[in-house]
Amino acid sequence: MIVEPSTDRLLQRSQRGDARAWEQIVHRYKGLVFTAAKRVGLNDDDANDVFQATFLALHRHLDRIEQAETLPKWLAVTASREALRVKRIRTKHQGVDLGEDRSLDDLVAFEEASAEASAIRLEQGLHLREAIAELPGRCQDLLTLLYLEEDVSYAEISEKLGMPLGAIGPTRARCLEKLRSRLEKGGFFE
Amino acid sequence: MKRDCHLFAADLVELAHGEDRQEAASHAADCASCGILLHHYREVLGVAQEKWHYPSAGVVANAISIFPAAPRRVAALAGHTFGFAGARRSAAEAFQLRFEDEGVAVRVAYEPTAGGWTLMGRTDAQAVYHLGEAVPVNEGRFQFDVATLEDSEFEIDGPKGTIVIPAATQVIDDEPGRNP
Repeated sequence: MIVEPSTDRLLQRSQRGDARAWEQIVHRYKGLVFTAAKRVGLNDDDANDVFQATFLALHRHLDRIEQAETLPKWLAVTASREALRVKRIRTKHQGVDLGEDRSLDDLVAFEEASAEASAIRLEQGLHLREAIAELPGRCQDLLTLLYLEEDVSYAEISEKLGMPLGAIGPTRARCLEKLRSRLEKGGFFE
Repeated sequence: MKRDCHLFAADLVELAHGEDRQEAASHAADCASCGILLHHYREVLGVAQEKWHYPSAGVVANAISIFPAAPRRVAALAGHTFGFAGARRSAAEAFQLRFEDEGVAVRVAYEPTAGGWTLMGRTDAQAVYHLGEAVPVNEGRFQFDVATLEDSEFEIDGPKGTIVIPAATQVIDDEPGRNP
Protein backbone atom coordinates (compact mmCIF):
# COMPACT_ATOMS: atom_id res chain seq x y z
CA MET A 1 0.00 0.00 0.00
CA ILE A 2 1.37 3.41 -0.95
CA VAL A 3 1.22 5.75 2.01
CA GLU A 4 0.68 9.32 0.89
CA PRO A 5 2.52 11.91 2.97
CA SER A 6 0.23 14.14 5.02
CA THR A 7 -0.46 17.69 3.86
CA ASP A 8 1.19 18.88 7.07
CA ARG A 9 4.40 17.08 6.13
CA LEU A 10 4.26 18.32 2.52
CA LEU A 11 3.73 21.89 3.69
CA GLN A 12 6.66 21.71 6.12
CA ARG A 13 8.92 20.22 3.45
CA SER A 14 7.87 22.85 0.89
CA GLN A 15 8.54 25.60 3.41
CA ARG A 16 12.06 24.16 3.77
CA GLY A 17 12.53 24.40 0.00
CA ASP A 18 11.78 20.81 -0.99
CA ALA A 19 10.75 20.92 -4.66
CA ARG A 20 9.37 17.37 -4.60
CA ALA A 21 6.97 18.27 -1.78
CA TRP A 22 5.80 21.28 -3.82
CA GLU A 23 5.22 18.99 -6.79
CA GLN A 24 3.08 16.71 -4.62
CA ILE A 25 1.06 19.69 -3.36
CA VAL A 26 0.36 20.79 -6.95
CA HIS A 27 -0.76 17.27 -7.88
CA ARG A 28 -2.88 16.87 -4.74
CA TYR A 29 -4.81 20.09 -5.30
CA LYS A 30 -4.79 20.45 -9.10
CA GLY A 31 -8.44 19.33 -9.40
CA LEU A 32 -9.60 21.63 -6.63
CA VAL A 33 -7.92 24.72 -8.11
CA PHE A 34 -8.80 24.05 -11.75
CA THR A 35 -12.42 23.23 -10.90
CA ALA A 36 -12.69 26.50 -8.96
CA ALA A 37 -11.80 28.33 -12.18
CA LYS A 38 -14.04 26.26 -14.45
CA ARG A 39 -17.09 26.53 -12.17
CA VAL A 40 -17.15 30.27 -12.67
CA GLY A 41 -17.53 29.59 -16.39
CA LEU A 42 -14.04 30.41 -17.62
CA ASN A 43 -12.68 28.85 -20.79
CA ASP A 44 -9.63 26.58 -20.61
CA ASP A 45 -7.13 29.35 -21.40
CA ASP A 46 -8.44 31.61 -18.63
CA ALA A 47 -8.72 28.65 -16.24
CA ASN A 48 -5.07 27.80 -16.97
CA ASP A 49 -4.09 31.38 -16.09
CA VAL A 50 -6.07 31.21 -12.83
CA PHE A 51 -4.40 27.88 -12.02
CA GLN A 52 -0.93 29.36 -12.51
CA ALA A 53 -1.80 32.56 -10.60
CA THR A 54 -3.16 30.55 -7.66
CA PHE A 55 -0.01 28.46 -7.28
CA LEU A 56 2.14 31.57 -7.73
CA ALA A 57 0.22 33.15 -4.86
CA LEU A 58 0.68 30.01 -2.78
CA HIS A 59 4.42 30.08 -3.45
CA ARG A 60 4.57 33.69 -2.27
CA HIS A 61 2.49 32.97 0.85
CA LEU A 62 3.91 29.55 1.66
CA ASP A 63 5.64 30.66 4.85
CA ARG A 64 2.47 32.32 6.15
CA ILE A 65 0.37 29.15 6.06
CA GLU A 66 0.87 27.68 9.51
CA GLN A 67 -1.87 25.06 9.64
CA ALA A 68 -1.98 22.48 6.88
CA GLU A 69 -5.72 21.91 7.30
CA THR A 70 -6.35 25.48 6.12
CA LEU A 71 -4.47 24.91 2.84
CA PRO A 72 -7.35 23.44 0.75
CA LYS A 73 -9.67 26.30 1.74
CA TRP A 74 -6.94 28.88 1.12
CA LEU A 75 -6.40 27.46 -2.38
CA ALA A 76 -10.13 27.21 -3.13
CA VAL A 77 -10.86 30.78 -2.00
CA THR A 78 -7.82 32.20 -3.80
CA ALA A 79 -8.65 30.38 -7.05
CA SER A 80 -12.36 31.30 -6.87
CA ARG A 81 -11.55 34.95 -6.16
CA GLU A 82 -9.10 35.12 -9.05
CA ALA A 83 -11.54 33.33 -11.37
CA LEU A 84 -14.32 35.79 -10.51
CA ARG A 85 -11.95 38.70 -11.10
CA VAL A 86 -10.98 37.33 -14.54
CA LYS A 87 -14.64 36.73 -15.37
CA ARG A 88 -15.54 40.29 -14.40
CA ILE A 89 -12.82 41.65 -16.72
CA ARG A 90 -13.91 39.38 -19.59
CA THR A 91 -17.59 40.29 -19.14
CA LYS A 92 -16.76 43.99 -19.13
CA HIS A 93 -14.68 43.62 -22.31
CA GLN A 94 -17.61 41.88 -24.00
CA GLY A 95 -19.79 44.89 -23.26
CA VAL A 96 -22.12 43.13 -20.84
CA ASP A 97 -23.87 45.46 -18.42
CA LEU A 98 -22.69 44.72 -14.89
CA GLY A 99 -25.41 46.94 -13.41
CA GLU A 100 -24.78 50.67 -13.11
CA ASP A 101 -26.31 50.85 -9.67
CA ARG A 102 -23.73 48.47 -8.22
CA SER A 103 -20.66 50.10 -6.76
CA LEU A 104 -17.23 48.52 -6.94
CA ASP A 105 -17.52 47.80 -3.22
CA ASP A 106 -20.78 45.90 -3.82
CA LEU A 107 -19.16 43.94 -6.60
CA VAL A 108 -16.12 43.04 -4.53
CA ALA A 109 -18.34 42.04 -1.58
CA PHE A 110 -20.46 39.89 -3.89
CA GLU A 111 -17.38 38.22 -5.36
CA GLU A 112 -15.94 37.61 -1.91
CA ALA A 113 -19.16 35.93 -0.73
CA SER A 114 -19.30 33.86 -3.94
CA ALA A 115 -15.68 32.80 -3.54
CA GLU A 116 -16.30 31.69 0.07
CA ALA A 117 -19.43 29.72 -0.91
CA SER A 118 -17.67 28.11 -3.84
CA ALA A 119 -14.69 27.21 -1.63
CA ILE A 120 -16.92 25.38 0.87
CA ARG A 121 -18.41 23.24 -1.89
CA LEU A 122 -14.99 22.58 -3.44
CA GLU A 123 -13.59 21.51 -0.07
CA GLN A 124 -16.50 19.08 0.29
CA GLY A 125 -15.68 17.70 -3.16
CA LEU A 126 -12.06 17.27 -2.12
CA HIS A 127 -12.98 15.50 1.13
CA LEU A 128 -15.36 13.23 -0.77
CA ARG A 129 -12.59 12.24 -3.21
CA GLU A 130 -10.11 11.69 -0.39
CA ALA A 131 -12.63 9.55 1.52
CA ILE A 132 -13.38 7.42 -1.57
CA ALA A 133 -9.61 6.96 -2.09
CA GLU A 134 -9.33 5.65 1.49
CA LEU A 135 -12.07 3.03 1.09
CA PRO A 136 -11.15 -0.64 0.65
CA GLY A 137 -10.32 -1.61 -2.97
CA ARG A 138 -13.68 -2.85 -4.25
CA CYS A 139 -15.69 0.02 -2.77
CA GLN A 140 -13.11 2.53 -3.95
CA ASP A 141 -13.24 1.17 -7.53
CA LEU A 142 -17.04 0.97 -7.62
CA LEU A 143 -17.76 4.43 -6.19
CA THR A 144 -15.07 6.00 -8.39
CA LEU A 145 -16.70 4.51 -11.50
CA LEU A 146 -20.22 5.34 -10.34
CA TYR A 147 -19.72 8.87 -9.06
CA LEU A 148 -16.41 10.34 -10.19
CA GLU A 149 -16.13 9.17 -13.77
CA GLU A 150 -18.49 10.30 -16.47
CA ASP A 151 -21.07 8.16 -18.22
CA VAL A 152 -19.91 4.71 -17.19
CA SER A 153 -22.72 2.22 -17.74
CA TYR A 154 -23.57 -0.59 -15.33
CA ALA A 155 -22.53 -3.06 -18.07
CA GLU A 156 -19.09 -1.42 -18.26
CA ILE A 157 -18.76 -1.42 -14.47
CA SER A 158 -19.74 -5.08 -14.39
CA GLU A 159 -17.06 -5.89 -16.97
CA LYS A 160 -14.34 -3.70 -15.43
CA LEU A 161 -14.83 -4.96 -11.89
CA GLY A 162 -15.83 -8.53 -12.75
CA MET A 163 -19.02 -7.99 -10.77
CA PRO A 164 -22.40 -9.46 -11.80
CA LEU A 165 -24.89 -6.76 -12.82
CA GLY A 166 -27.25 -7.81 -10.04
CA ALA A 167 -24.54 -7.30 -7.41
CA ILE A 168 -23.85 -3.67 -8.30
CA GLY A 169 -26.90 -2.23 -6.49
CA PRO A 170 -26.40 -4.02 -3.13
CA THR A 171 -22.62 -3.38 -3.24
CA ARG A 172 -23.26 0.27 -4.02
CA ALA A 173 -25.53 0.52 -0.96
CA ARG A 174 -22.92 -1.04 1.33
CA CYS A 175 -20.09 1.08 -0.09
CA LEU A 176 -22.09 4.31 0.08
CA GLU A 177 -22.84 3.62 3.75
CA LYS A 178 -19.10 3.06 4.40
CA LEU A 179 -18.37 6.34 2.64
CA ARG A 180 -21.09 8.20 4.54
CA SER A 181 -19.85 6.86 7.85
CA ARG A 182 -16.25 7.88 7.05
CA LEU A 183 -17.38 11.36 5.99
CA GLU A 184 -19.49 11.76 9.11
CA LYS A 185 -16.48 11.00 11.31
CA GLY A 186 -14.52 13.64 9.37
CA GLY A 187 -17.17 16.32 10.05
CA PHE A 188 -18.46 16.44 6.44
CA PHE A 189 -22.09 17.01 7.47
CA GLU A 190 -21.49 19.63 10.16
CA MET B 1 -33.90 4.20 15.92
CA LYS B 2 -36.98 2.09 15.27
CA ARG B 3 -36.76 -1.68 15.26
CA ASP B 4 -37.47 -1.99 11.53
CA CYS B 5 -34.90 0.55 10.35
CA HIS B 6 -32.59 -2.17 9.03
CA LEU B 7 -35.33 -3.25 6.61
CA PHE B 8 -35.06 0.08 4.81
CA ALA B 9 -31.27 0.46 4.75
CA ALA B 10 -30.85 -0.50 1.07
CA ASP B 11 -34.04 1.28 0.00
CA LEU B 12 -32.87 4.54 1.56
CA VAL B 13 -29.86 4.44 -0.75
CA GLU B 14 -32.12 3.74 -3.74
CA LEU B 15 -34.40 6.58 -2.64
CA ALA B 16 -31.42 8.94 -2.46
CA HIS B 17 -30.54 7.93 -6.02
CA GLY B 18 -34.01 9.04 -7.14
CA GLU B 19 -35.68 5.63 -7.25
CA ASP B 20 -39.30 5.28 -6.20
CA ARG B 21 -39.37 3.65 -2.75
CA GLN B 22 -42.59 4.78 -1.13
CA GLU B 23 -42.37 2.63 2.00
CA ALA B 24 -38.83 3.77 2.69
CA ALA B 25 -39.84 7.39 2.04
CA SER B 26 -42.69 7.27 4.54
CA HIS B 27 -40.48 5.48 7.07
CA ALA B 28 -37.79 8.16 6.68
CA ALA B 29 -40.43 10.84 7.18
CA ASP B 30 -41.40 9.30 10.55
CA CYS B 31 -38.01 8.10 11.74
CA ALA B 32 -35.52 10.83 12.69
CA SER B 33 -32.37 8.70 12.36
CA CYS B 34 -33.38 7.33 8.94
CA GLY B 35 -34.37 10.84 7.87
CA ILE B 36 -30.89 12.07 8.74
CA LEU B 37 -29.36 9.08 6.93
CA LEU B 38 -31.34 9.89 3.79
CA HIS B 39 -30.32 13.54 4.04
CA HIS B 40 -26.66 12.48 4.35
CA TYR B 41 -26.88 10.20 1.30
CA ARG B 42 -28.46 12.99 -0.74
CA GLU B 43 -25.77 15.43 0.34
CA VAL B 44 -22.98 13.00 -0.58
CA LEU B 45 -24.55 12.30 -3.96
CA GLY B 46 -25.09 16.01 -4.58
CA VAL B 47 -21.41 16.74 -4.01
CA ALA B 48 -20.35 13.65 -6.01
CA GLN B 49 -22.43 14.74 -8.99
CA GLU B 50 -20.64 18.07 -9.26
CA LYS B 51 -18.16 17.59 -12.06
CA TRP B 52 -14.49 18.22 -11.40
CA HIS B 53 -12.10 19.48 -14.02
CA TYR B 54 -8.40 18.75 -14.32
CA PRO B 55 -5.71 20.80 -16.06
CA SER B 56 -3.47 19.41 -18.77
CA ALA B 57 -0.09 17.91 -17.88
CA GLY B 58 1.63 20.95 -19.37
CA VAL B 59 -0.30 23.35 -17.15
CA VAL B 60 0.54 21.26 -14.09
CA ALA B 61 4.21 21.22 -15.12
CA ASN B 62 4.18 25.03 -15.34
CA ALA B 63 2.83 25.29 -11.78
CA ILE B 64 5.44 22.82 -10.55
CA SER B 65 8.19 24.84 -12.21
CA ILE B 66 7.27 27.91 -10.10
CA PHE B 67 9.25 26.34 -7.29
CA PRO B 68 12.99 26.76 -7.77
CA ALA B 69 14.65 23.35 -7.86
CA ALA B 70 17.01 23.09 -4.93
CA PRO B 71 20.45 21.59 -5.53
CA ARG B 72 20.35 17.84 -5.07
CA ARG B 73 21.72 16.74 -1.72
CA VAL B 74 23.37 13.37 -2.19
CA ALA B 75 24.05 11.04 0.77
CA ALA B 76 27.61 9.86 1.28
CA LEU B 77 28.58 6.22 1.25
CA ALA B 78 29.39 5.22 4.84
CA GLY B 79 30.13 1.54 4.37
CA HIS B 80 29.78 -1.50 2.12
CA THR B 81 30.21 -5.25 1.99
CA PHE B 82 32.74 -7.09 -0.12
CA GLY B 83 30.27 -8.26 -2.80
CA PHE B 84 29.56 -4.74 -3.93
CA ALA B 85 32.75 -4.57 -6.02
CA GLY B 86 31.34 -7.34 -8.21
CA ALA B 87 27.95 -5.75 -8.75
CA ARG B 88 28.67 -4.95 -12.40
CA ARG B 89 29.62 -8.53 -13.25
CA SER B 90 27.05 -10.70 -14.99
CA ALA B 91 26.96 -13.22 -12.12
CA ALA B 92 26.57 -10.55 -9.48
CA GLU B 93 26.31 -11.34 -5.80
CA ALA B 94 24.19 -9.69 -3.17
CA PHE B 95 25.83 -6.79 -1.39
CA GLN B 96 24.97 -4.09 1.12
CA LEU B 97 25.66 -0.35 1.22
CA ARG B 98 25.26 2.09 4.07
CA PHE B 99 24.63 5.79 3.50
CA GLU B 100 24.50 8.72 5.90
CA ASP B 101 23.49 12.36 5.62
CA GLU B 102 22.09 14.95 8.03
CA GLY B 103 22.19 12.35 10.79
CA VAL B 104 19.89 10.03 8.81
CA ALA B 105 21.27 6.55 8.08
CA VAL B 106 20.10 4.19 5.34
CA ARG B 107 21.24 0.61 5.03
CA VAL B 108 20.36 -1.12 1.76
CA ALA B 109 20.74 -4.75 0.72
CA TYR B 110 20.88 -5.30 -3.05
CA GLU B 111 19.88 -8.82 -4.04
CA PRO B 112 20.00 -10.09 -7.63
CA THR B 113 16.77 -11.67 -8.89
CA ALA B 114 15.69 -13.26 -12.16
CA GLY B 115 14.26 -9.93 -13.36
CA GLY B 116 16.84 -7.53 -11.94
CA TRP B 117 17.50 -6.52 -8.36
CA THR B 118 15.53 -6.25 -5.15
CA LEU B 119 16.48 -3.44 -2.78
CA MET B 120 15.66 -4.03 0.87
CA GLY B 121 16.42 -1.17 3.18
CA ARG B 122 16.23 0.10 6.71
CA THR B 123 16.09 3.77 7.54
CA ASP B 124 14.99 6.18 10.23
CA ALA B 125 13.70 8.55 7.51
CA GLN B 126 9.92 8.99 7.38
CA ALA B 127 9.47 8.60 3.65
CA VAL B 128 11.19 6.91 0.72
CA TYR B 129 10.60 7.67 -2.96
CA HIS B 130 11.66 5.76 -6.06
CA LEU B 131 11.09 7.34 -9.49
CA GLY B 132 8.84 9.91 -7.82
CA GLU B 133 6.52 7.34 -6.23
CA ALA B 134 6.27 6.86 -2.48
CA VAL B 135 7.65 3.50 -1.32
CA PRO B 136 5.83 2.04 1.71
CA VAL B 137 7.96 2.22 4.85
CA ASN B 138 6.94 -0.18 7.59
CA GLU B 139 8.70 0.23 10.93
CA GLY B 140 11.71 1.65 9.11
CA ARG B 141 11.86 -1.15 6.53
CA PHE B 142 11.21 -0.73 2.82
CA GLN B 143 11.60 -2.78 -0.33
CA PHE B 144 11.31 -2.27 -4.08
CA ASP B 145 12.51 -3.88 -7.31
CA VAL B 146 14.56 -2.40 -10.13
CA ALA B 147 15.47 -3.80 -13.53
CA THR B 148 19.12 -2.72 -13.34
CA LEU B 149 21.38 -1.16 -10.72
CA GLU B 150 21.41 2.01 -12.85
CA ASP B 151 17.78 2.44 -11.74
CA SER B 152 18.57 1.99 -8.04
CA GLU B 153 18.74 5.70 -7.14
CA PHE B 154 16.05 6.68 -4.65
CA GLU B 155 15.25 9.52 -2.28
CA ILE B 156 14.48 9.83 1.40
CA ASP B 157 12.83 12.57 3.38
CA GLY B 158 15.61 14.12 5.49
CA PRO B 159 15.23 16.73 8.25
CA LYS B 160 16.18 19.59 5.91
CA GLY B 161 14.71 18.27 2.68
CA THR B 162 15.12 15.48 0.18
CA ILE B 163 18.30 13.40 0.31
CA VAL B 164 19.29 11.41 -2.76
CA ILE B 165 20.62 7.89 -2.25
CA PRO B 166 22.68 7.44 -5.41
CA ALA B 167 22.41 4.45 -7.71
CA ALA B 168 24.70 1.62 -6.61
CA THR B 169 26.50 1.82 -9.96
CA GLN B 170 27.24 5.50 -9.32
CA VAL B 171 28.81 4.63 -5.97
CA ILE B 172 30.84 1.82 -7.54
CA ASP B 173 32.11 4.19 -10.25
CA ASP B 174 33.01 6.86 -7.70
CA GLU B 175 34.90 4.58 -5.31
CA PRO B 176 38.59 4.45 -6.31
CA GLY B 177 39.79 0.93 -6.93
CA ARG B 178 36.29 -0.51 -6.57
CA ASN B 179 35.33 -0.63 -10.22
CA PRO B 180 35.93 -4.22 -11.40
